[in-house]
Amino acid sequence: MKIRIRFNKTGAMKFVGHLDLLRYFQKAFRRSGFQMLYSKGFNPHQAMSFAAPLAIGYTSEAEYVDIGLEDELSEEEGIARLNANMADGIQITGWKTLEDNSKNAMSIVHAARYVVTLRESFGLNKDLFETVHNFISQDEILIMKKTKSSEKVTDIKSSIFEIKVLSENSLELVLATGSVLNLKPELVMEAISKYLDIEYKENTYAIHRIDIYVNDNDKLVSLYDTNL
Amino acid sequence: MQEGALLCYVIATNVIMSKLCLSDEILLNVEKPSRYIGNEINSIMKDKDSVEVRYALCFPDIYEIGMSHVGLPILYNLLNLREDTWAERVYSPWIDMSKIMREKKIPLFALESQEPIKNFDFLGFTIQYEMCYTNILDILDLSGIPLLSKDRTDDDPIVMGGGPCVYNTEPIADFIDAFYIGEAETNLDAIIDAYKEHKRQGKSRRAFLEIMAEIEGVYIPQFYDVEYKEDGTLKSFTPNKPCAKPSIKKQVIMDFTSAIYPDKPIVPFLQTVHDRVVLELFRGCIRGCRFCQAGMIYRPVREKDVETLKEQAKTLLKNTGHEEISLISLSSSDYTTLRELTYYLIDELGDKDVNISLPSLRIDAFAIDVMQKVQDVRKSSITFAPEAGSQRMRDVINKGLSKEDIINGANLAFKSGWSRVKLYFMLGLPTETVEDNEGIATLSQEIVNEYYNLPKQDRHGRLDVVTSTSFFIPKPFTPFQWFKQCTSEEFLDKQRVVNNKMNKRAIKYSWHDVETTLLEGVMARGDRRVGAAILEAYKNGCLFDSWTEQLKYDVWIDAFKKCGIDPAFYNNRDRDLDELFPWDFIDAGVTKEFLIREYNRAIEGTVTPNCRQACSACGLIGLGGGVCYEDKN
Ligand code: SF4
Repeated sequence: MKIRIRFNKTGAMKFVGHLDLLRYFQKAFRRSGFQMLYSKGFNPHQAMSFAAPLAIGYTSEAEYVDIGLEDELSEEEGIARLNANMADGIQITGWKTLEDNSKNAMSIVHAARYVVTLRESFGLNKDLFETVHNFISQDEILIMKKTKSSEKVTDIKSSIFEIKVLSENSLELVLATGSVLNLKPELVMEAISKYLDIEYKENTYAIHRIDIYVNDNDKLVSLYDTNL
Repeated sequence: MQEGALLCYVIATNVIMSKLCLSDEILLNVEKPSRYIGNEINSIMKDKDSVEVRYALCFPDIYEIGMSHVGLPILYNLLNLREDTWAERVYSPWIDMSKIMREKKIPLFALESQEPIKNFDFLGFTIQYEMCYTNILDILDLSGIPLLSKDRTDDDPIVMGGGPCVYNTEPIADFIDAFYIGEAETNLDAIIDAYKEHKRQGKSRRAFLEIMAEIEGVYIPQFYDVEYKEDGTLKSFTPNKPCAKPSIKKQVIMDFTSAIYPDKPIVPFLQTVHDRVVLELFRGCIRGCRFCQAGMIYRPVREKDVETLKEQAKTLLKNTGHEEISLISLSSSDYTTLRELTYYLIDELGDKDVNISLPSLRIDAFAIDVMQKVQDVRKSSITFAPEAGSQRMRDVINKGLSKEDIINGANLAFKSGWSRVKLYFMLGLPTETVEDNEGIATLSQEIVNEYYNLPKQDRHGRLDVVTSTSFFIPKPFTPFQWFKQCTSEEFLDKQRVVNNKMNKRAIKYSWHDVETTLLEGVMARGDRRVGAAILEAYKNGCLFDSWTEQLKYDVWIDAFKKCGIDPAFYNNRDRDLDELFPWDFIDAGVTKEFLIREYNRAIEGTVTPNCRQACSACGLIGLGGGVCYEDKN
């Protein structure tokens, strides 16, 4: 059976990177006694796929991994067994059986919602409400996107689906995520720094992911609720 | 979701974070921050107010290396089984982190509680290789503990040292309060018990060291005086306190089957060097290779019962979730029930997609069969460690591996599909000649010929042979402890001989670093005076010396000069058989008579049978168990 597991990632676990998290889950499934489905080949791998990697330093309350199981497990039992084998800072919060022909989470991800909290060291020098309002009202938001091989100027405005101020030092972002368009929250923060004319420094803000969405008839639907 | 709820969540996250010693901003600015967070599966948390003794266990290298070591989990488990004690871990912070910690004056902390080491009762180092000595000093310094034992006060933890390097404690004798010689399973508990009693009575640190000095296996350097002769060799080594024993007996656990073992080892988040379950088949080695310190100091061989191992394999896999299990020992083929164990594991675990690895296996029909079942033949390589290039030389070092063994093993492996071979040799062995060096190239070539002599349909593409040489360093408690180590020039000459003779179209030749070898030699057979140079080198920036790209060789050489240490005195001098050595006060079990006998047989080129063929009366029989009594049961 195909299962979509939802989990959160908080506390010290935010320092565990994506590849390490993958190994962590492989081992957690084994400790939980799950009969996993395996890929074929001499070095078989557990059939598992994460929706969207979470960068080191981010926390999240809704991450997703799809797995294939040989045995039938109820939601209750699955969650209980896994949670008995989790490290402090990761908790399984959802277990959903998928149709056998359903698409992998990774292939249908469209957007993600984040809360960004600015630290003192960010050096905010103006009112955040006003700043964000004016920032997003620009015709285009140009930023230098670096890849391994090249640097190019990109307009990120169309990848910012929503931006909202929550308090004097925190804001909420909904950003394009996935294989087609992908915008990292730190690029938005870099653009805001540039707009404010302050020096951009990494890690001067905390990022918390709220949820990951698919595009279902032009509506954002949580990966947990979608039937795609 | 409501805005208010969101904000609460963000704040709550920050509260959880405050458990870590280091701020997010620090952790996000260093390489691999999860080295410093603890919190791993099976790490042990206790309420600090409910324990009486806090013990920090340290492997003085980075986390990924330290976490791969099999000894530390044994101590961690042993100590944490006690309700009155909380053992935690600490590793060397990498250079990026220690720089920040110094700038911000953050003291070094233990991973579990995230609390400063300075507040612990004990700081125990496991010392696995000589080139970590400056890292020991760095750990002390970052913890705010005086580097020299004599400068420490009642506010400092008791600093202990154990592991293979403590078979010559003297180069680091000034930095360590108490050494423990041998296996911890025997007397670690006695030390903790004595400490509790002492703490209750509120006595001084020095008073406790005196109590400790009476426990078997414990050596307190400051209770011994050292005198030197005019020629620089040791004149005397004598206790200056009635509590100090003239000879310190190596501790050995005789019943290895029922020895406590860690059934829930920690599962790191980071990929470590050994990301797998490790099962110890036996301790010790029957072989008696004359260059090998491990083969001498871990005697006698004590096997773990096969049924126990089967159970432990299952338990460990279940408790860790690892997908690989490694059966380790100094020479796995010598485990008496290896076949039964291996085939059991393959049958039981194979369908659970658990990989089984068997390092240090002699290549024969059994090994080939097992490897075919557990490895991808095309990707894996077969390994031979002849150690020396000629039969004469192999007889001198008592390595009972003949050319036929190697060629036949290679032939079997080639026919079964292998086309990668790794060969390991040493350069600079006692009595070695140019012919012996050339033999390395010749033997490598003979393996190549063996492959290309096979009919074409039996071959699998191009043969890939890597021949590696390391430089021989004589170690204490081996029959070679009296021999000189080669100078750097001599080593390089030998390397050149091999390199010139090597057919590089078919064989890749790789070698070891000669600078590290010189330093390692001084540490391996150095005396107490060497400590000053270690301190000097550390103060001038030496750290992570085992990392070739970090090694500051010139700084070391300057430190030796400044402290009046002549490396040649320690390395390049044949010692007299009656010279008093800085490690002679340790009773490692093997007697000096045996070592001298082996020294003489080495010079004659006479092979000594292994423990199962015939006992050579090395001295261990007095312990009343292990291989020495195998056929007498
Ligand atoms: S006493 Fe004999 S059998 Fe025992 S370890 Fe020594 S040589 Fe081997």
